[in-house]
Amino acid sequence: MKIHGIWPCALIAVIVSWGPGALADPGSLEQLRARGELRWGADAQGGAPYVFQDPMDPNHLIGFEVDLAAALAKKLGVRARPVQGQWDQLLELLARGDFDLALNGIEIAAEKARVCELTRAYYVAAERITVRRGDANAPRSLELLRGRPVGTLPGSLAERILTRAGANVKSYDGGQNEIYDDLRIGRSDAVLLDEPIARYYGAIDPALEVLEGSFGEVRYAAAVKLGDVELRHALDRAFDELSKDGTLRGIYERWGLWNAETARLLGDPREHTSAVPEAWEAWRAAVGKQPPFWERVRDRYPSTLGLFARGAALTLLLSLSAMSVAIVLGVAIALGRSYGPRPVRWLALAYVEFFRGTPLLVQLTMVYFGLPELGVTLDPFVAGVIALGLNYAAAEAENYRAGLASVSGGQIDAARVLGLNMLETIRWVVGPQAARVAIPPATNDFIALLKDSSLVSLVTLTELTKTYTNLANSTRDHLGLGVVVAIWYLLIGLPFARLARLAEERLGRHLGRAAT
Amino acid sequence: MSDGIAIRVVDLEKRFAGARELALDRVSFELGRGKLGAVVGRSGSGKSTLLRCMAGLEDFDRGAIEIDGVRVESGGAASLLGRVGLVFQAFELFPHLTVLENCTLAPRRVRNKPRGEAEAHARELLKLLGLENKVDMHPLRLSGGERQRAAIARALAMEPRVLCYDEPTSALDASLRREVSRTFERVRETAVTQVVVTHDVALARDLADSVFVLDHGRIAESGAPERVFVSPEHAATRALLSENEYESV
Repeated sequence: MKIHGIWPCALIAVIVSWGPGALADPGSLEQLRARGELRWGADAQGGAPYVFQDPMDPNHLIGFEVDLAAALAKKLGVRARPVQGQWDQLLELLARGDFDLALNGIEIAAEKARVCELTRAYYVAAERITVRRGDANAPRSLELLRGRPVGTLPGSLAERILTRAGANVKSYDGGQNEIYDDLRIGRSDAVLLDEPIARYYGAIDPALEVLEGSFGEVRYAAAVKLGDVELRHALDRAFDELSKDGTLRGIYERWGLWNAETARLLGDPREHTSAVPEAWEAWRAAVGKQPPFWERVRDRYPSTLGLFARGAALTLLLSLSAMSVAIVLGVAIALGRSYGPRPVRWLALAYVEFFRGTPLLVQLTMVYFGLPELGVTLDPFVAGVIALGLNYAAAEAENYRAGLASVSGGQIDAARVLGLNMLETIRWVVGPQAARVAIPPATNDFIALLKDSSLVSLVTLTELTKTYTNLANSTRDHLGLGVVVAIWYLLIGLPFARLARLAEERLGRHLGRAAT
Repeated sequence: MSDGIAIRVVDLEKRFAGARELALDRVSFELGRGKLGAVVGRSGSGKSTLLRCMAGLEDFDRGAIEIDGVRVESGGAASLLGRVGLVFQAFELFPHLTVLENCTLAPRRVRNKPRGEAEAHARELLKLLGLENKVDMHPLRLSGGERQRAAIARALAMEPRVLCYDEPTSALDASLRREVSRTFERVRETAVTQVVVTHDVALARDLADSVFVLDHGRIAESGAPERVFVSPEHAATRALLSENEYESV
């Protein structure tokens, strides 16, 4: 069962449709055609030249795989629609059914064939070593890498080569940009990565030198859901046709990626090319040398406004929804813990300890990737709201419990003697007094939730932080855009802090301590 | 029920969980309608427990409490909630509500009285108690005496047949004693039966129609104040009297 979130209704939808669901029909080619779009998964944070935001116009995704996806979709007679997913989780997201195929520099390897169907290879990349230019001690061969700090991407062939060579492997979850930045500033002594990455991040930096020679070879293939042989065959045929009619070669030439190995793979006798790598030239011109900050503010950042606004809207909506869940659940738990019978108290305590004592990341992963094993496949937004909401409910429950504890037993006695039942006592007497105590920490929690909501980028949502890391990686501008995203966070967080202070003052006006 | 008795407590027994001694040991007394009874005794004598039982906050193990002919037995004390008024030692006014709101909360939420009606009645009571200028104030802005009167008005707003006070003079300056006496006299005008729990002998002597001396959970002696305090028959009464003399020095 797949729940498509109309956001405000999403929660209700979850409650209503909770239960074992049927597995999606694996023969999805027909469904895909009926839908009219090929949903392909990739991580824009992975950067150039695969899939990334155009540094000159960040509202557009570009990259040789964007071109590839478009060409594939055209062959299938549909449109291509990119779906954002964290790179090292693309195959899990694929298995969940978040997209039809993963197309993002996925290496052909035996262990992958067990979890997905791999198409034929569409590109062969050499593994290239990059070092600091003029570094006399630079490790210029695999043997010399032993014991040296070397950067690469996790789970890649390059990482395995480095491990075998006995290097001190530093793998980076973030963008490729950081890997080369760290080399330049001396945090590592070399980088081993696929040629496209070396060309786009290493070769354009005058302080770095990409060594001649291949230190390994990696083949990229697209992945479809395990068992979906029909779609795999269709994609294989499409790749064949694109190879024969020269589309693939055209794409690789434009991106400056044509090489002898790929020529052999595609059965093309012309190993060399004299075509101008337009796309690579454009990239180098755009990011090779960063213009000064104020120029960027004037010329570049305005075009990020739309993306950031969308990210901020998602962050805000997600946080508000999750906080609503947390408040409702937190009140129930706090009441259960404060006034419930013993078993309820224990249950409430167990809830608080569990959700407070385990990482949010684990909880989110369980909700999004774990529940499908039980037949419950949640929309990413709903999964994010649930995971954040359940987690923060524990914190809220503790705040409210402290609030309730601040109201003396005498107040409760007074209400009961007047004939108010427990619910009326809480609603009219204890609640309003407890709220004043609970509001300041609850505000802190909301601000914390606002920031923690960035974890949902794990489940394909491009909120504010993910927008930033994508942009920073596409434009190689971490500091300037960091200031921009910080301002965005403050802009959405501060009004709530102010609002909470007003509410606190209003509630506290007559309660003595705050009055004077 | 038409025998003119407002409160009849019959063989009331109460033991707190884990306690060896009884907190209340076969306590029996009665009080006529509109009268003011004083339960006196040293701290730990069980007078606060008796009060909490009468107000319905605490259940009891044996015996019965009869309010205006309605009999409540062990296990049913909660049915007294809302029927017997209680003015707490620390008043326990609701600090987030105005004086008027304190007085209208229960009539509106429990009795479902319309707001206008509840407010009119509350204003009447507040006027009776000399608080007509304080209706819109919050409790923390009031003086101690005003808070007590507000708490009394709040209790009376539920139109109880019986109004109990827990140590009404202990939270107030000695100089306010006359004000307290005046307040009791005013409440008497509403024909409500009053029970004052106190260790303040002077208060009991000046105001009470009947006095009940509580000692170790038992009624040691009872009678008119002029009899009990002038010629006490029980050692507990004498001890209480000497304690009070010592205090007033």
